[in-house]
Amino acid sequence: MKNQRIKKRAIVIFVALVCFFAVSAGEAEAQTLFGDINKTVSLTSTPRIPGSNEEVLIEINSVLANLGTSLITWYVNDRIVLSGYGEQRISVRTGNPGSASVIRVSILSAGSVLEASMVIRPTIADVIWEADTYTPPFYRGKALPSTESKIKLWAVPDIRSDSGARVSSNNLVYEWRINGLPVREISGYGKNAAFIQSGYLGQSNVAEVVARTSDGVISASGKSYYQIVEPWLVFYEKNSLTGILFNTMLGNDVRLSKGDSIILRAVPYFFDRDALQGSNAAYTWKLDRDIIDRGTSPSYEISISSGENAAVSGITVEYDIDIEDRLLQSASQKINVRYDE
Amino acid sequence: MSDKKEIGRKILVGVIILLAVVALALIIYGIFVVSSGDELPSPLGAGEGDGGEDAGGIVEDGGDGTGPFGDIPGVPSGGVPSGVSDAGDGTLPGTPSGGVGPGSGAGVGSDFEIPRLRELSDVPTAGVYAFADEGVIFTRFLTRERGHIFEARMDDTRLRRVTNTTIPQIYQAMWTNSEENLVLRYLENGTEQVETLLARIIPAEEGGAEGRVEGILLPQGVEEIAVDEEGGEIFYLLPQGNGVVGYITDINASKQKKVFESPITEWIPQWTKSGDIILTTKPSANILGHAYFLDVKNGELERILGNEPGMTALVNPDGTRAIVSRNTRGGFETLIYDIKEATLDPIGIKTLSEKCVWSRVDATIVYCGIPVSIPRGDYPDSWYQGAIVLSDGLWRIDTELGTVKFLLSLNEVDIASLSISPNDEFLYFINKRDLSLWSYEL
Repeated sequence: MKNQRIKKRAIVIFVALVCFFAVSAGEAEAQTLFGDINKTVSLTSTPRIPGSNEEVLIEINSVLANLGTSLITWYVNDRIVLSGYGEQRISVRTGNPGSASVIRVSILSAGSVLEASMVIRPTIADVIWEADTYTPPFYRGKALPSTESKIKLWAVPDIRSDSGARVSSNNLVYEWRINGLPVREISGYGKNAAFIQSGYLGQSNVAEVVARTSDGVISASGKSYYQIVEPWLVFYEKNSLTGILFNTMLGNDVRLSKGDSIILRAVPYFFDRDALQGSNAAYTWKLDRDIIDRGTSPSYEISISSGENAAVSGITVEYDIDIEDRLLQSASQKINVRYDE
Repeated sequence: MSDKKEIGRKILVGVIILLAVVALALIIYGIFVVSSGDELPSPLGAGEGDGGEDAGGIVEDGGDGTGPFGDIPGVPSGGVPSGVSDAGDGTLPGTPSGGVGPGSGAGVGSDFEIPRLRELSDVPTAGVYAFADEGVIFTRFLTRERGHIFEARMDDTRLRRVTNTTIPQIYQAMWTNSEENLVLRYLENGTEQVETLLARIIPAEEGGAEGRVEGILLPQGVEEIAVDEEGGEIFYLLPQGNGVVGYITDINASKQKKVFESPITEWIPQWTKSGDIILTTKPSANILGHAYFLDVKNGELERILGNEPGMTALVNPDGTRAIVSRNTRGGFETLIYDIKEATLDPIGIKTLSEKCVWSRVDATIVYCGIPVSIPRGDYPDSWYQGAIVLSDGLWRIDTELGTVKFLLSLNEVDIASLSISPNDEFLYFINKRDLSLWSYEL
């Protein structure tokens, strides 16, 4: 009798233990199962490296098949910005460099809550370029690149650490690309400025840079486009009292009263500066197609007088610049000077 | 006896009739002949010095006493006698220049009403500055030909020459924080080297009529300048090596502080009333432009706005907004950028920011010259090069309410260098077509 009681107790204890472990195993299995699901939910941003004050698309990246029927709630800096069934993406506007936007998503699926988050820290890397071509004094516009002229590139990054402090541009690693191709010679640590050759007429080009912290954790990207143009010659009037009248370009014709004179000033926009100063440049003035002056040094001015010869109604003035050993570094311009009676 | 009386009576009647006829003739003369008037000579007289060739320049103080009176564009001239002599105290009666707007029209003597639109100078002008003295607004301007400085009272038509120091062919003149201090920019004789003179006006000695200009030259080749209209300092960009260095100095060049360094040399600087230095990349039609605050403590650039094609920008005095123009296909459009909110919004007008000036009393108000039409071109390049000439009207824009108000129609004026007096009393602009100087009373 006593043994039967002990047997019964043993069986009860055994069954209880079996039940306990079975449940525990089940629970563990369930936990493991949900834990795996959590790891399959993540967020992606487009663009991948957001800049400042721009719209960024955040999307859920998940293998779950029932996202479309799940209640999804989006938070930006702990504030609900969107909540609804199947809301798998939101658009967020970044702030200035140094700011941080904490994006969190909560997914209610099959009675369980899944979450994922990311932090967006906008960065900037402006690309500014400058062509080494001619523009006149006091000109407020940009010098444009002509064929085979030099171009200077400069990256202006703004990358902030977690503390908000700006990382010095000298302490970043730069990767430069021209028309999609990496240019290793000008890339590297601290290399935020570089010289390149411009390219050929009509070509549209893009200069890109990615600037990264030394540990590669934070990066910024930027690009700028430039198009190669033809250099060109224009005429301005040079007034003997007030100087060169850059405010108004002379057109194809200019009129002179009888007895008057005019000084024409030629301006060679966007010629390569080195080519203009080189020994292979030829500068030619023509009057009614006759060469009156030709030399290798710049002579940008000519004085035209109406004269007293009533039979002459005007004259055509032409100025040419030709750089012999440089492709497409040449231009010509004409102007008709009409004498009023 | 009665015959004598009759004869006497007839004589008396004849004399009365004769007097009446003479009086009537004088009245007719006063109304019709004087009112129609002859064309008035230029307000700034014949050409300076040299053989008297009429180049529309300033009258030398050669003692001939001829005062300047102006051609009055667009106004039926009248009522003002020509050839008024120099008053003998160094003042020259200015032209009661006409123009459109209320109060225009001729008058004689002290009853003359000053028109709202005035041509202050019909000769090329390099810069202008307005200041208040005992409640009166004065305007100083510098003529390009000889660098002489003139001053106009805005409450009457008097004009006087402040300095007669000759510095030929001044291209740019910028006053700093007082009517005595300015920066002059010109080309070294026969070259394209830019000279920059930090200048001070030395007032006339007691009993003298005119002062002189003294100054210190900065190194040759300064690319661009911005002046602090509050503190009087000057920021300038000087090419060094393969790039440019930015310095801050005072009008005496007694201190030079390096605050910026860049491999890029093409910047347009601006110094706001709030003390910020802004650097904007020089624009071209299809090229993305950027504008930055310059931190003068560490030389770093903090982006205000970027990646806008053909961008030009003018920041308001308190550094909170900018009027921005950017290139569109063959033209341009204008927007307002809220710097704090980082929002860029169109305001329904099309102009270049160089044609605008912010109010000095309300940081949300901006005045602009707006082209009546926009010829197809690459902007702003074509305008900078002088290849395209525009014709503008004058407008007031409230950037807070988003409203625009038409102020004035102008005849063949391409507004450049728009500026404003200390409390928004007057607008000033140079007509890019002929570099003449105008004022408009707001």
